Amino acid sequence: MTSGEPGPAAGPTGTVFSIERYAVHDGAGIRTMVYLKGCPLRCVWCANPEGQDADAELIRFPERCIACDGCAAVCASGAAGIEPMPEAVCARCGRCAAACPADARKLFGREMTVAAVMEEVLKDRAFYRRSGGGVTLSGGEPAAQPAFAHAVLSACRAHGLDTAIETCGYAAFAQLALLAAECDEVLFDLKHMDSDTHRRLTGVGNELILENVRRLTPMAAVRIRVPVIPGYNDGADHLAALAGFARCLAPVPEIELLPYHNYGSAKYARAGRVYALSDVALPTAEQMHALAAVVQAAGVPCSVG
Amino acid sequence: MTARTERLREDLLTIVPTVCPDRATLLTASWQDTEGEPILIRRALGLAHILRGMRIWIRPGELVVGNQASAPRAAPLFPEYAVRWLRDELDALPTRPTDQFQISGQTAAAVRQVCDYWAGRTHQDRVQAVTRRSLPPTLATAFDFRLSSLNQVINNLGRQSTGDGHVIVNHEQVLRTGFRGLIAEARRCADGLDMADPDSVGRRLFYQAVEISLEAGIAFAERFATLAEEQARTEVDPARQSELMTIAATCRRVPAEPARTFREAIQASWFIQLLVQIESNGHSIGPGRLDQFLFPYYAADLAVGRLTREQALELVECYWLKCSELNKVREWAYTEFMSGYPLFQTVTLGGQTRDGRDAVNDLTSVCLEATANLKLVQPTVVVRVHSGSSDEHLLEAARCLVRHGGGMPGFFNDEVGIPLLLRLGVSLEDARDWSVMGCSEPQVAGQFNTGTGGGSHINLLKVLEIALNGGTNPNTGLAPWPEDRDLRSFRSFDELWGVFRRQLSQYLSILPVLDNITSHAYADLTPTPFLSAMVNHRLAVGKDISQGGPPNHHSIVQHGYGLANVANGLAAVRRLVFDEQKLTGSELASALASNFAGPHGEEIRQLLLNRAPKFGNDDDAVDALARDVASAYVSEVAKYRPLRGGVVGPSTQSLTANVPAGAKVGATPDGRRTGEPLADNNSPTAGTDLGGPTAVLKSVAKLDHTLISNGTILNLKFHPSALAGEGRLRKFVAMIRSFFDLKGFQVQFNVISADMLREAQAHPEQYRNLVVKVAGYSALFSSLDRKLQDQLIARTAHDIR
Repeated sequence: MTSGEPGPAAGPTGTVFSIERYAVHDGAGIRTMVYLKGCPLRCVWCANPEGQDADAELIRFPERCIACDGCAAVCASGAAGIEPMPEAVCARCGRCAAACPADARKLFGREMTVAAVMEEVLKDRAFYRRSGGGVTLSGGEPAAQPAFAHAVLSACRAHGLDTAIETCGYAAFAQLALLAAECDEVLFDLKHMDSDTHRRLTGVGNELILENVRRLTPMAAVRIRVPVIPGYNDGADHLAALAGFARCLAPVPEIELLPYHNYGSAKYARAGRVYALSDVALPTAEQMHALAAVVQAAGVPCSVG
Repeated sequence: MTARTERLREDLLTIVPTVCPDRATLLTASWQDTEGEPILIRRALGLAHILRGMRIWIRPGELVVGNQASAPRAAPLFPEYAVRWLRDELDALPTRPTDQFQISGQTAAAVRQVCDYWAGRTHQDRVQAVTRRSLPPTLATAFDFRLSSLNQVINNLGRQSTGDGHVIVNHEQVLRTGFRGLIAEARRCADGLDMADPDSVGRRLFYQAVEISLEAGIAFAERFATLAEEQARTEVDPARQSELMTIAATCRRVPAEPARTFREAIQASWFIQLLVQIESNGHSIGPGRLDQFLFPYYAADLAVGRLTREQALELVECYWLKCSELNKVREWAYTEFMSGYPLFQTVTLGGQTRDGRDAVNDLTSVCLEATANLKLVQPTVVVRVHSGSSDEHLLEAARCLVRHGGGMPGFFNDEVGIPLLLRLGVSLEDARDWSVMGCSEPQVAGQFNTGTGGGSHINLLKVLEIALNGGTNPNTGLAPWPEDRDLRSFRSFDELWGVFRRQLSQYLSILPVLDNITSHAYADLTPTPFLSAMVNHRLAVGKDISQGGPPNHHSIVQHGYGLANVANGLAAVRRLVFDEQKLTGSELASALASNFAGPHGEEIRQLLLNRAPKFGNDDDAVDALARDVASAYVSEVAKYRPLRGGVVGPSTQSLTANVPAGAKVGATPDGRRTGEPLADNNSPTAGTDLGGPTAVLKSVAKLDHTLISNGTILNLKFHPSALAGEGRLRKFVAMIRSFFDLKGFQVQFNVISADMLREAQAHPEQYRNLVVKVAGYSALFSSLDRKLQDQLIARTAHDIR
C-alpha cells in the first residue's frame, strides 16, 4: 500500500477460510470473495461445509498424499496418517498440514487481521475499477463475526471499493443492520417459507430471518437469493408463497433463483463427513425458468443465477 | 456464412495435406538454365518460371482466386533453402507424429531428383560452411551443426531450412499503385542511375529483377482470368457463369492496375499475400490491418450500391478460406517447435488511425463475423485495444472469441505497442498504424524489413540448469564457459544469480555470429525482389530487402522461453536453500541429478512445488524474479546490432518449442521432472497458478512489456459458460481492459471445449487453474470430482457449436 492512502484501522481479527479472486456471480462486476468461518445454519445441501464450524478444521486431499508419513511424525494426538481419520481425536492443531510438503492436508480457517484481508482484496483493485466490482463477504456467515466483518467492509469503503455481504439472515438485526450500512448490496438468502421445513433443512426456524429481511429491505439494497433444491423447496406453491412475501416488502427486492449444484459434495468426504443430498437431481434450465416465471407472475422481479 | 462459404469450408476441412512438387521442379529447371546470371535475376526468372508453369485451379464456388500449390492444403517445396532434411524425411512425412503430409510415389521421385540437384547449393549448406569457418574452436566443439545448436541452449535451426519471412507488406500502397505503377517507379529509378556510381550496376539489376517479378505476378493473375473465362464457357449455371466472368475481369485488372472496387481490392490483396508466399516460404506473412486498407473501397462501394455488407462478408470469408488453403512443410526438428501447420498470417483489427482516432469501422465487424463463422486456424485474427476503444467493440470481439472457441481474436494493447515502437524510433503516426506480425511482433506495414535474419531460440531454463551445474550442461558434459561454483557450493542466492546472469550473457554472445551468417546467406543466395517491391523504401534505395539498410525498423525476432520455470526455480532455491534452509544445496543438487528418485526425492519435489512461490499468483517474491530474468535477457539481446540495421528484438514466445526444449532439460528446482515441457510463452507453468485469472494477469503485467520489442504471449483458458450471457461477457471485457491498464501487452483465451475438458480430466495437474462456471458460482474444474466433471463435459457439448 502506498502512503497517503487510507490504511485499515488496527482492530479485530477474524477467521477466514478462503479468499477467492475473479468472482463474477456474487454481486456487481469482478469481485473478491472473502469467506468467513462459522455459520449458525446447517443446511443439508451446504456447498461450503468447511465454512460451517467457527473453528479451524482439517481438510484432507488424499489424492495428493505421497505417503511420506511427515504428518504422523508431528501429530499431537497420534491420529494423522490413520485412514479414515477419527475426527474426535483430531485436535485441529494444523501441525500435520504445516508438515505436509504435498498439501495433502490443509487447515481451513486462519486468523487474519483486517490489514491482511485488505492486502489481498486490494490486489485486484484495477479489476474492480474497470468492472464496477469490489468485495463480497460470504461464509459461513459474515454476521457471525460482526465486528471483524464490519471492520473489513469499512476498510473496503475507505478505499472506494464496492461492498456486499452474502448472508443467511440468521443474526441479531442490529448486527445485520450495522453490516448492511457498509454495503452497496446485501445478498440475502431465503431457503424456505415454512418454518418447520426450514428447521428440518437448516437446523433453525425462519422467523428471525424473515423478520430481518423485512426490516432490512427499507434501509439497504437487498437481493433475495433462493437456492432451489429439487424436492425440498422447488414447488410452485412454495415459490408463489415466497413471491407473496417479497411483494409485501418495501421496496420489493429482486429475487434470484440459484439452481442447486452438488459441487460441494466432494468436500464432505475430504472433511470426513457424509453428504446427505447425493441423490438429488440437478434442476434443468427449463425448470428454473418456469419457477422464475411463477415469481414474476406475482409481480416480483426474478432472475436465474 | 453463406451456403457457398459453408461448403468451401466443409470441403477444405476434409482435405488431407499433401506435398506439391510443382514449385520445386520448376525452380530447379529455371536454376539450371540461368547459371551464368546474377542471383537477383536468377531469383526473378525462377519466380516467373514457377508462376508460368505451376498448376492453377479455381474451386467450384470460389470468389477470391489464386493458389499456392496443386491442391488446397498442399505444401509447395523450397529446395533452395535446404534439401538434406527433405531427402532424409521424405518417406516419414505421411506418418510423423504431427503435421503429416501425404506424398505420392511420383512426387517423391521428382522431389528426390530436385534434392540431388540442390545438395551442396542451398542456403543451409552455405550457412553451415560459414559457421564451421567462423566459430572459435572452444565453441565449435559445443556446436551441433545438424541442429545449429550451441550446447542445447540456443539454436537457429529454422533460419537454415526455410525462407526469411516475418514481414507485413504495404497492401494499402500496392492496391493504390498497382504492379504497373511499381514497375514504372522501378524504371524511373533505373533511368535515374548515375553510371559512375559504383552501386549503379547492382541497383540496376535489382530494378530489373523487380520488374521481371512484378510482370510475372501480373501474368499469373491473367492465367486465372483465362481459366475463369474457360470455366465460364462450359458453366451451365448462369449465376456461376456471371461470377466467373467477374473473376476474369477482376484478374485482368488487378494486381496490375490500381484497385477500384472492394472486390478488386480484396482480390489484389490476396494475390499480394499469395505471391510473397510463392517467392519464399518464410512464414509470418500477414495482411496486417485489413479492416483499414480495404475500408475505403468498402465504404465507396456501399455508398453507390455496388456492394452489400453481406457480399463483403462473403468475400472476406473467401479470403479467410484462401489463407487456410496455404501450407508449409518443415523439417521435423523445426516442426516440433511449431506444430499444427502454422503459417502465422495475422490480420490485425481495430486500434487507432494514424491521427489517433478510434479506427474501428464496419469492416472490423465484418472481419470478426467472418472469423466467428468460419472457426478456422488461418488467418490469425487479433484486435488492438486502446484506452479509447469502445466497450461495444470489445464485446463484439469477445462474442467472436466465444463463438470461435479456439482463441480468436487475441487481444493486444496499444498503450504498450505504441510506446514500444516509439522506443525503436518509429514515428508517432506510424506507431499508431502498427499491426501484429506472426504471433506478437509489432510492426508497421511496409516500414519494417523481414524480421528474422538469424533469429534464434533460446532455452532460458537450460541456462539455469547450466548455472546450477557450474557451467556444464549435464546432458552433453560440455562447459564452454566453466564456473568456479555450482549449486553444491553457492554461498548465497546472489552468487547463483551472478552465475546465471553470466552464463546467459555468454551464450547470447553467439547471437551476432548466427545472425550475420544467416543474414549474409539470405542476401547472397535467396534475395526476394518481389517482396522488396511490396514494402516501402526498397525501390528508392535500390537494394533487395535481404540487404537491409535504412530506412527500416528491422527487428530480428529472438525467442527466449522458460521464463516462468526459471523464475520459479530461482525463487525455490532462494527460499528453501538460502532463506529458510529447509534443504542444502547439495541435497537439492542430488535430488535434481537423480530426477527426484532418491529416498526423499518426492518430498523434496513437493517442497519445491508447494513451499516456494510460483509465477502467476500475483506474488512479488517470484514475479520480481521473472521481471529480472526477462530484463536480463532483454538487455543482453539489446547489446547487438543486426547486419541489416534496426535492433535485435527479444520476445518471450515459445510457440510449441516449450515441449522439445523441455525434453532437453533435466529436473529443475521449480519441481519440474526431467524432460517435462517448459511453461509456454510467458504463461505460468501449467497447474501452478492457483489464484484465478486476475492473479495471472497481475503477475504477467509486472514484466516490462515495452522493452520486449517482439512481444509477449499469455494463454488463458476459460470455460464457455464463464463467458455465457451479456453480464459475464462485460466482466470478461473489463478484465482484459484492467490487464491493459496494468500495462500488459497481449492476452489470448481458449474458451475451452468438451475435448479439452476430457483432457483436463485425464491430466488434472495441468489444468488446475481452469475456471468453470456452475450456475450460481465458479469453481476450479480440477477441484470437482469425476462425476461432476462428466456433467460439465456433457453440458459443454451443448453449449458450444
